[in-house]
Formats: sequence, structure tokens, C-alpha cells
Amino acid sequence: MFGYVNAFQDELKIKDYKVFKAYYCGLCKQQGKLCGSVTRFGLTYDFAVLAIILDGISETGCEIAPGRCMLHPLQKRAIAGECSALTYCAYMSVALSYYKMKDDVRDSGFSKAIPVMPFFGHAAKKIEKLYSEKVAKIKKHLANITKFEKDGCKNIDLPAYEFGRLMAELFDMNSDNIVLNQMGYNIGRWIYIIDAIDDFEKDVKKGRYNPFETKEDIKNSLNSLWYNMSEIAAAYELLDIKRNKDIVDNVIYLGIKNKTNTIIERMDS
Amino acid sequence: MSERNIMEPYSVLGLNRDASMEQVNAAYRELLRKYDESNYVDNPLADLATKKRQEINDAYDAIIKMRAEEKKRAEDSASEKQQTNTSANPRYTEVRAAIDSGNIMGAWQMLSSMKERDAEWYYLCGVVSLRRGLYNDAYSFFKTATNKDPLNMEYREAFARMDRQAGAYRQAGPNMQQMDCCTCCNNLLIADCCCECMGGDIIPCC
Repeated sequence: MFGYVNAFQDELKIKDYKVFKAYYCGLCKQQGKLCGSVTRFGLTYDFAVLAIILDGISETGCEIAPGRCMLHPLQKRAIAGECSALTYCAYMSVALSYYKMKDDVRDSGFSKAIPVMPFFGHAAKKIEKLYSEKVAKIKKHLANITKFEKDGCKNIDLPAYEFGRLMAELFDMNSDNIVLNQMGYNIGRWIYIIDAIDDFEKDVKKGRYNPFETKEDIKNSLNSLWYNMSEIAAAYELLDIKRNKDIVDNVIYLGIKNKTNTIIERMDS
Repeated sequence: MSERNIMEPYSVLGLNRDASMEQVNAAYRELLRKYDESNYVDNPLADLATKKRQEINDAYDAIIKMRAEEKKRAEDSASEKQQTNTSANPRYTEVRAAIDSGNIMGAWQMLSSMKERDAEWYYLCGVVSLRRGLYNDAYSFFKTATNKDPLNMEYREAFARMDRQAGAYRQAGPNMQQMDCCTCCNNLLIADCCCECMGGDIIPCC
């Protein structure tokens, strides 16, 4: 489900690439500090992007300074310092990873992540206390998705809507920004669908649930998927972003588009 | 011209009100021929004949005018009727009002409870789905509405707008191609040159 939202790195300027990396490292470091080092393996670029967006609209923005990290002990590298956006993203990343692992274990009785699950579970308990309202909403949407998947729902809009609402909650950090909410919804909807397309063949082979029945269904949904992406951009254009704009531009206009094209082409071949 | 003739031009021509246009023209020509000036040359009744022709002409003009007006009225009321047909379904009016006021779920419930599924029903379902973020449903609804009533501009525009907006996003920004190994090496070399300019180096041997 994760890892789809990313920058198209080939088109990033080197200075922007450094900032991107700095946020990623900063997030990793925060996650280790707040939730335990083991949870750092659950990190994906999606949350780095979210941190870049949320920090980009904050008043002050975090400080990026050279530092060391445990995983790369020899070389000093630019790392984004502690800030509310990174803290929030670190917690949310761990919570979602945990729920995803739990889902996998429940669905197939197995997950590669079983050995590390207790660490995530421990952190998740802490997060549920810190962000009780947010976590409750996320869990509600996840439960709804599970229900659709169990019922074998073949209307892609229904589970995609739930995942969209989940991402809307994640993006809208303080539940006060309608633009972030709309952007999150559209990104979430896109992630769910692109993930379903990406996994289609694998799911068919293994007899697992996929909201699409045939390749024809996928083709028929592409027009509205492109519309979906245009809505991400439409919301983003209304976002009052103060920094990191070049990076987020890249994610919205190149990263997402390129990912979509790659996955569609792979499906066709 | 006598008062009777103004009141009843048909009787001047010796016709009923429901006479066809051909009958009117035929009677008119017949009467004009009958009272033609040539028939009353040097006749003391010539003035009376002229008066009669005048009456006939007035009656004919009056009938033409009346019929044109009748036709226009009929057309107007027909088009009025048509207009009321397309958007005077009071339930749709209510649905549209609900959508306009932002009561999307209310509109959705109203639409779900309807049995009749015409083009407007599909269109309004499309609008509601779009507002809820159910883009795939919205797209299908608009498509069906357009298929059912291909001449309706409102439906067609809603359908075309989704494609237009999606197309604009696809076109925005440079079109990304997958990197082949040549461009990859080139980019690395360029990156190396840039780094060297700045005092760094990624490919130490060159």
C-alpha cells in the first residue's frame, strides 16, 4: 500500500534532492528516537513527502544541519532537525505500519514483519494515547476497507473512498485545513487504486482479493484515475506552501504521474 | 369595410374557420376574379366592386395574420411545455437545490429512492458522486447520461470537463520517460562535472 508517493528523483535539482534526503533521514531519526530503533525499518518515502509538505506550510520550518546517524555512522549527512511535522509523521508512520502488519497477519496468517511486530505494537499503544482522536478515525476507515475486502466489493470507488478519507485525516494534521484534507483524500484514493492495479496480476494468481475483476475494468477506470490525479494538483495549487515548493511540485506533477505511467505500462506489457 | 367583415373575415370568403390554407387561397382567388376590375368597366357598380375587392383583400390579410399568430402561440406553448419537461420534475428540482446547498448525502438519498432512471437522474447521480469524491462512479454516470440524451449540453459538458481536466494534468510538466542506461551514464557524467566544479567528485577516475 505504501511507497507510491515519491519524488521523481531524476528531475530533482541536487539541492532539492539533498533537502529531500534530509527530511527522510530526519524522519528516520525521529522514528528511532520516539518509537524505538526497530521501527525505523518500516519507513517509507510517503511519510517523508508528507513531512516535506507539512513542514513546508508551517510558519518556521525545521532546521537542516549535518549530523550522524546510526545507519551511516562514518559520514556526516544533512539531517532535518526535530519539528512538529517530523514528529507527527514519525508517529503516524509507525502506527500505520503496525496496522498494516496486523492486517497482513490476520489475512494470511503470516507476515515477514512478525518478528518486529511487538516493537511496533508497543509504540502503537503510545501513539493511540497521544493522538486518540486521529487514531480512532484511521482505525474506523481501515475497518471499513477490511469489510469491503471481505465482502469482495467490486466497486473500486468504495474502498478507495475509505482509504482516501484515511489519508485526508493523515494530511490534515490539525484537522483545520480543508486544502490538506482534499489533497490527502485525492492522494489516498490514488494510492489505493494504483496499488490495486499494481497488485492485480499477483492477486489473481494467488486468488486474493482485488477490487478489479478484469484488466478491462482497470482500463475503464483509468480516465477517472487521471481525473483523480488532476484533483490532487488542483488542491495542491491552493495550498499556501512557504518552502520545499520545488520538491512538492516534483512529487505532484512528476512523481505521481510517472509512477502511474510505469504501472500502467507494466500492466499492458 | 363593414363591422361584420372585421369580426368575421372567413364569412367574407364564404368559408368556415376550420378551412384549410388551400381552401382560403382558392376562395380568395375565385372572389378576386369574380369582382375583378375588368368585369366592371364602365359599370355604375364599379365603385361597389372596388369596395368588395377591398373587403376581400382585408379579409384575406386578416386570415393570414390570424393563422400566423395562432401558429406562433402553438409553438411557444410547445417549447414551454418541453422546458417544463426537462427540469420541472419537482423531485429533480429538490435534488438540485440540495446539491446547491451542499447537502450531498440528502441529494444522494433522494436519488437512490427514485425508480425512474432517465438521463437527468444519471447526470445528477454523477454530480453527487463527483462531490463525494467517487470519481469512477461519477464518470460512468455522466457517460450514461450523455448516451441517453446526447443533445443535452449540461450532461455533455460535465462528462467532457472530467476528461479535459485529467488531460490538462497529463500534459502538465515535462513528459517523463524511463531512463535507459545511456542517459543514465550521461547524467552521471554531467553530475560528476557539476560536482567537480563545486569542488566535489562522484566519479573519482574522471
